[in-house]
Amino acid sequence: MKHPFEDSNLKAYLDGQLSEPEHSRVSAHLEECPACQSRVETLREQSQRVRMYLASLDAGLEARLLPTTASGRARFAAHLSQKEKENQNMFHKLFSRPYRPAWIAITVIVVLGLALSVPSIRVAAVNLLEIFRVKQIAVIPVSTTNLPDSFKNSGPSIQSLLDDNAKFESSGKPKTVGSVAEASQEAGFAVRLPAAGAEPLPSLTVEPASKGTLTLDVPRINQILNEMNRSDLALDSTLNGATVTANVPSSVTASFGTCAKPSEKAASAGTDKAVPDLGMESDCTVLVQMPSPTVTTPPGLDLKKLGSAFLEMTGMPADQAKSMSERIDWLNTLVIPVPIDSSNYEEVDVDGVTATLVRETSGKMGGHFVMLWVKNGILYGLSGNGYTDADVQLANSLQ
Amino acid sequence: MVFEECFGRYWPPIVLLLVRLTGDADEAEDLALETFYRLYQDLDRLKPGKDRLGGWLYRVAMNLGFNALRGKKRRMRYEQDAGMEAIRSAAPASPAQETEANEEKRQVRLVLAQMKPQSAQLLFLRSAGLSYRELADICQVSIHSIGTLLSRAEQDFEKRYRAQFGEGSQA
Repeated sequence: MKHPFEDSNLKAYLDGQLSEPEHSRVSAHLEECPACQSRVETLREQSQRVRMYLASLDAGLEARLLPTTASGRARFAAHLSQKEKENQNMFHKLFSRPYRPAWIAITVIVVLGLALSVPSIRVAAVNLLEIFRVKQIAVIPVSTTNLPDSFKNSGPSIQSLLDDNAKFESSGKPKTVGSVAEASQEAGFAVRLPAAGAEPLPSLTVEPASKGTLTLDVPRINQILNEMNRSDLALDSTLNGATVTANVPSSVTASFGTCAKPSEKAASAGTDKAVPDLGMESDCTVLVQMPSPTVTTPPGLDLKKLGSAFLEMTGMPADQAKSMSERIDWLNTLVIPVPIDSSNYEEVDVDGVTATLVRETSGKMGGHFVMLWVKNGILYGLSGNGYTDADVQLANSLQ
Repeated sequence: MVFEECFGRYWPPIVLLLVRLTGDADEAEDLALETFYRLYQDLDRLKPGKDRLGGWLYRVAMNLGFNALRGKKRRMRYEQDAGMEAIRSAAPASPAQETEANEEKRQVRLVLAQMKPQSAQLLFLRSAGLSYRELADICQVSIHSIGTLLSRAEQDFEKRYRAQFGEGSQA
């Protein structure tokens, strides 16, 4: 005899979880099939024994005083404010995380732009990042209220140093294109967009490749370090005149919704314009993609030491900065200072990889988010207002 | 507001489940608070119908609850030994029914903590009276596979229980 029902149906039958017609069909079959009958009996006995064990968990449960909804709600309010305090101090959590590879260039500048509210610090930080960015992202929570005075005071000298010694050359002008194929052709890599749907096509802009160069003016750098009480970091005079070069490949920006026109490419280092005005409109979402930039530094530059100084500038205690700097591969890591006063950082799974999501929680950029990830050597950055399911879907539907 | 509605609707059943699972009202409340905190954080990301939110909440609560249970395995084993000692040393005149009941709860929790998380959750939630549809939603498996998964979970539970405690107090 054929047995049309498996354990799965028989168990559901026993548990009274079949629909009426299905239940009747199993009943009918059981009447004429001793083998299935005995199987049902075995399952029933097993269920009964196990149910008795588990029923012991219910003993005395009804007599227990359970936290009521009202008391639970009151405790939840306390829990919430406690959690918010903990979030202000995310150092420990972040240090325990392994740094995951994920990064992008332009969007990071946006993060910084909206993040660091003190203008001179913002510019200096952006430019330091211009120098050190490559293969992965490390997020550093920064408290803007906690920055050392020495750093605040040195902001202007760092800026003028960069004005004089850093150059940013672009190999052309931004170009608006009409299709993905054209964008891929222009940018030189396979551009991905969300699967075609009812949505209108985003507007596509190809930013040309660019190159940033910083010429080291050792006497001047050492003077600034001296002002910051960090003469221990003084650069060797043999480095004078050496250059640090960042090659930033061509990138493609896709704007969804109503977006302000991308500002003219003005990433000339050392000016406020280095912060592109991307995705700031209320219903504007921007997706930026580009192959990894590369950085060349002269040999003999102690990146770990400089990195440690940079971390200290963000307000990190010296010993922490030193040990963290030891763990960062500075040549290949993009370090994003995330201001903990006004934003949250988390990891989310999108596009088959782990992305870094930074959300502004307060300030004039409240609700703004930037999500960064890297896949197959291409960096992606998605930014907009109010992180929602639609953004996750957008990232997940790239093809 | 969706959050308040969810809190009012799901706090009682979730706390009850967690008390049943952990046997400790304070711990259960902490776990429930964490569950609702996650809802609070992720609410704007979730947004589906309310029933799906319920499934999400149960899932988070069960993951937190079972993680806590597994974290206590070592301690439960220790208490288990101490408990057995207490029964053995108890005078034959006192049946120590109370102790025995607690003893069995500990044994059941210890076995649940050792099982594969999904099996343990299905078994636990089913024994708490949830329907196959609810189980499928919470554990994110097809409703058609619930029967098979449950009967395997029962088998696994029984095998482990017998291996460690013999027939136990069921005999």
